Amino acid sequence: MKLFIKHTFKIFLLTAFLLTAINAAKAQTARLQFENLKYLEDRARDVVEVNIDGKILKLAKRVLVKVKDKDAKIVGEAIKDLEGIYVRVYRFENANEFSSNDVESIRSQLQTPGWEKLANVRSKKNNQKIDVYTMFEGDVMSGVAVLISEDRSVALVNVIGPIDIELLTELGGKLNIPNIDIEVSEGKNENDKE
Amino acid sequence: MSESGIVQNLFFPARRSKEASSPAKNKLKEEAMLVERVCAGDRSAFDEFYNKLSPMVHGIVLARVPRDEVDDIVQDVFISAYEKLHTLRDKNAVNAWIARIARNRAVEFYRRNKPTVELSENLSHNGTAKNEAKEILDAIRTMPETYKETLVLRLVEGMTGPEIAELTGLKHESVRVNLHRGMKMLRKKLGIKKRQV
Amino acid sequence: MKEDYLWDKTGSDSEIEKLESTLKTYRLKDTSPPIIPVVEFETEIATPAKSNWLMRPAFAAFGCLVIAAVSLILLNNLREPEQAIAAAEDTNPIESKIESKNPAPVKIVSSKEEILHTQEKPLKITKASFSTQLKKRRQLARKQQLRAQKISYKKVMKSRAKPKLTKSKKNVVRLTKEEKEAYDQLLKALAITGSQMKIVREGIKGERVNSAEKDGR
Repeated sequence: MKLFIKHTFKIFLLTAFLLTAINAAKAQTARLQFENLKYLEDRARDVVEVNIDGKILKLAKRVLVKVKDKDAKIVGEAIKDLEGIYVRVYRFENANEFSSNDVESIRSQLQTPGWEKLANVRSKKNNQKIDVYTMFEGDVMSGVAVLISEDRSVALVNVIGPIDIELLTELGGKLNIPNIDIEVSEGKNENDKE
Repeated sequence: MSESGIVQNLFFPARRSKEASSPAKNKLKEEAMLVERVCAGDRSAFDEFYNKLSPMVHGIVLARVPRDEVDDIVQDVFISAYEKLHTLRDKNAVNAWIARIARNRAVEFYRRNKPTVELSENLSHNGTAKNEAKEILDAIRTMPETYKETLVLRLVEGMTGPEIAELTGLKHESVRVNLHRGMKMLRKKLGIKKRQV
Repeated sequence: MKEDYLWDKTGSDSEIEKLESTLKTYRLKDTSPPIIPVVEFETEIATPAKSNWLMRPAFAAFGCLVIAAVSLILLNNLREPEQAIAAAEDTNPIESKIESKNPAPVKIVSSKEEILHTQEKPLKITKASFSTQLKKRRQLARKQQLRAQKISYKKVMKSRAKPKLTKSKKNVVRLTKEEKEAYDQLLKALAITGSQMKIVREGIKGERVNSAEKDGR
């Protein structure tokens, strides 16, 4: 009897561990690796790099909660389960300063299991190529990847976690979403609790 | 650090700025930079953007639309430009792009409003100079698009030919031809009006 | 030379110069750019909550003072007739030095009842009644003064209690530098992501239009 209980407990622990590992692996794969884009960075005239995750994302979400504004609430709702946003934009002086192989490392990551192709657009105008991929955990979106390449630019957006794409598209361009006054203090906030 | 400084550092952390081979290239880069800053929400960049391009937009609209409506339309053009600036692919072509918006707005104005007769601004006897100005502007407005725009930018806004070429994106030769032919046409029209009087 | 002036303002051309000066009236005046929705990070903030919180007890205390003052005055008022009566009961009426407007003879007030029911015709002036009236007038004036002060104080407190608004009614938020930078970065990331998604949407729309056209053929 004791042996039986021991074995059952071991099997239970193993299953739990495996499930956690699988989940962790899934969460990791939603994040694209941008390390192999160094050569694009070296050749580009302008580089835009934005990484929002972890502490920065938490702080930013906190600000949106603090602000009593309708638009801020909408944005806050849209990104409440967001885990990270990673953006890379490379602009080149001349056309064809990079080849499709240079972004292949990103495309190959999007071919791995888990990623599903949502949209694929090819246009002769500016030699534009648009790829949109999503990753789902059951019914919940766990990641979005957008890759737009043209003659003189490459743009990569990787969103980890569920996000309302439609809302995000509407927000594009309206940078200053909530209309607020902010006082900046030197030290920590009274309510700042880690 | 100012807000625009934070924006610049954020947007171009790994910028490899190659030495410009000509002042023209420098200007192009500056324009693209300015547009990036405006897209990022930098208020001072938008003010700079407005101050730089408002004479051109004003001239383009004035060449087409009654004077009373010009200021509103100019403001409208810039608000519209601000909202859509992020969609502009080639940031260096922002001047031509905004000029196009201004022309479209002027056309829209006539679609929405019935044409009205523009009253003389000054009905008193002392308004001869203003009446003369109105006559000249009316004469310019009856000309073909390319001539009237160039003439308004030159004679009303006080820009030189090279400035007009730079702002509108036209070639120097085209602007020169427009100015020359436009002036010739204007002289004819004004000559005829004087004879009628 | 004329052509040069028309092109780049070198040299001179009287005709063109005249046109320029005539048409200058239509030139763009110095206008300010349109107001675009921007986040203004202001360092000045209004603190209405704090001021309200501090002022309430102060106002309550002042109210109590006023009530105490008024009740003191009223008490004084009640005591005055008694004093006047006591003075009147004194056998030596004191002649008033103050001349009344009414030249009627001074009537010596000798009884309580007469003091309490004193009529103004003819004017009965005794030291006691005069001082009573004077006190009454002073009390009335003081009451009025206090009332006026109370009203003006109320007005001041009301106006102070209102938060100082900037151009438009905005929320005021206090953030640390870290929070502000994180917020900045998030908005920028969302803006870039949103604009890229718009490009995607336009690209997809374009594709649909093309395929619709092809199907139409």
